[in-house]
Amino acid sequence: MVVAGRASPPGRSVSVPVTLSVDEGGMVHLRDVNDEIWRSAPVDDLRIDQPLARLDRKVTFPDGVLFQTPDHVGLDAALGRTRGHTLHGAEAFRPRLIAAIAATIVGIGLIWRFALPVLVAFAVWLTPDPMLRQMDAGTLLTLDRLLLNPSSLPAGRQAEIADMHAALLEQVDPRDVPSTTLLFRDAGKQVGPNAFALPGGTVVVTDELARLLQDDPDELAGVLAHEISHVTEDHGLKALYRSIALYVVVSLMAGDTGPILDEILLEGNVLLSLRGSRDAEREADARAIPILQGAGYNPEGLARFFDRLETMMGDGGGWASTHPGSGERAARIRNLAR
Amino acid sequence: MTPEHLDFKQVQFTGRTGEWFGIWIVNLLLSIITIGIYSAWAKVRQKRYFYGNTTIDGRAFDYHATGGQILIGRLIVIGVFILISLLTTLNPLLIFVVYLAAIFVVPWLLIRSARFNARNTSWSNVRFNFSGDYGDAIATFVLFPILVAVTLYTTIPLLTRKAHRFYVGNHMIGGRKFAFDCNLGPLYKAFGLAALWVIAVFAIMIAIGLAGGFSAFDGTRGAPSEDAIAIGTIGVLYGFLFVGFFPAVILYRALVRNVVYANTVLDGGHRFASTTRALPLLGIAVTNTLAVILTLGLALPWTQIRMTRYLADNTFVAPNGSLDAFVGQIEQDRSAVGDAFSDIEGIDIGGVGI
Repeated sequence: MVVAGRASPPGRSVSVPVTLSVDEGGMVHLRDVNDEIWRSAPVDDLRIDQPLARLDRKVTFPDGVLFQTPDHVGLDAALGRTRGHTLHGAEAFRPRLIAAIAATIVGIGLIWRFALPVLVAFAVWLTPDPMLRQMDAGTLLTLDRLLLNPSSLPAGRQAEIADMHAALLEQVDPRDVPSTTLLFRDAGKQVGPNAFALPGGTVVVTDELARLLQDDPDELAGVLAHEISHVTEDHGLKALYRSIALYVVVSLMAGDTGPILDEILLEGNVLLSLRGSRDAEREADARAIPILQGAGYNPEGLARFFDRLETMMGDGGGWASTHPGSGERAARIRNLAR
Repeated sequence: MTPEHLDFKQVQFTGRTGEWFGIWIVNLLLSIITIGIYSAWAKVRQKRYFYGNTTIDGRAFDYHATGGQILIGRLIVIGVFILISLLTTLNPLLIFVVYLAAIFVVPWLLIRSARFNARNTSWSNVRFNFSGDYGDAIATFVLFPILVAVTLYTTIPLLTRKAHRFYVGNHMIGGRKFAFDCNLGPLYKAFGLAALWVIAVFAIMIAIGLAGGFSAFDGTRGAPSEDAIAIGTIGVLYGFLFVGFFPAVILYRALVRNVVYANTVLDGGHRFASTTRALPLLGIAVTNTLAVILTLGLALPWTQIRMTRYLADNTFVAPNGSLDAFVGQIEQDRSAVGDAFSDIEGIDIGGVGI
């Protein structure tokens, strides 16, 4: 079997027409136009590039001489089946690629549904509690500097809410809550009545919320239980790891997407993370109910809180929102508490 | 500007959509099955396909990095990123230390990235090389951007010229250096056109906004709610970004590409030319984006072939004498850390990554 092609000396742009052939002893010879042997090497010493589409096949001799040929069939007949043929065959543009498309779509769905949560859960499991508490302290430092002011709530009221918080915490596994700190802050008009949990378990209640819910302990307990559920379910930490993982996966797998599309991919990531955030809110609502019932509060309070939110700010749900609609949440809580 | 006696040869791109689609979907599938590990080998196959199908005077490019090298580079970069994000969540003030370190480390990584890519790229069996000076990289990627910020972005053409002097001027093939220099005039012309686009879009949006604003206050519906205003503001911001800013960037890059190719010489008198035009390029970018969205990503291979073909069709090389005379040596570069960093950060160093 003789394969026609061209050969170049190592690192040179010049090439000459040659033929490649294999003798009985397994030696591969390159012969020039006068049929003189130019290079010889045992087949095992050659570096044979993996085939890719119609591109010229390349064979490199031990001294760096490069043989190239467009004759895929001839080279395969001469050198036998070399590495990379299965892949090359799988990539061929044939109807069976439809199966590859289907498998890819299923695969993306499976990764999204199972692999990513497992990866994130593993990372959450790896994160030590002291680090989480340190993270909380760091985040709080930034918030205090930018957004929050010291609380002006009377000590008696603060103690009342702290007791409520402690009673609710008794209903959950203490290992799920690295930090049981409860803090009060004056958040001003911009943040208003609000409460939030940091990934490590620190819960911050704004003065505005404590005053707004002064006459309804069930309602305030509902909000606190909701925040505690964010901590026991690691929602904050999961969101952090999920966004890191997605960013890396998209930038590595999508490869070169070209202008404009890169930007859209990043924005799409934001929309997807908002969806994750709405799911987390629903989960925290549902988990809050047994905590409230166990501590002797009426879950109806949390539903009332969302009614109040709806009258204050409108429904506020939708695909571009971090939280589901308040009306929907109130109805869901009443339904679950029954 | 270009010598008349030179014979300009069009760069040929022979990639086919169907063929590339097959490779692309298998790349994606194997990357998914291996939870991302194969993506390093996928990158090699993508580069080999596009380089191998790009020829000048019948001689193809080739890509020589291995999947193993790229995987190791990526693992290191991802590890460092995770470490940094954990440390900065631990103590947010550390972010300033990270920024400070980045000022000195990123230029070094960009040199390494360019060098890795150059050394693993060949044309007609001759390897490229890149030898950027660290101090020069600091000037290019730190000092000039500061200058641009201080002068309120009016000196972007200076940065463009500096970046190309650094990127093009430090490349070599077979021991021959590339050289690039140009007057600021054509760059400022490109910049002016891009700025004009941004201003025009801005003016049109304000005009529409005013018209809309008046109809909203016609008294029958009362003042718009705060939410409506907030949603409107976000909409206007995105609209401006996608209609005003991104197209202006594409416009600028298309014009700059022509200037850069026309003013680049390869040692020995080999010249280059580019004839990309802003509006066709913009049209391709926009229709490509729409196609990818409407097909949920399946049209991506088609759009990549289309864009590469447009750029190849508009790129010319004028060899001065024989192309057989190139002699190079292979310099090993195994560390793909810089390359992985620019992959993940989406940086393209020359600023002509279109």
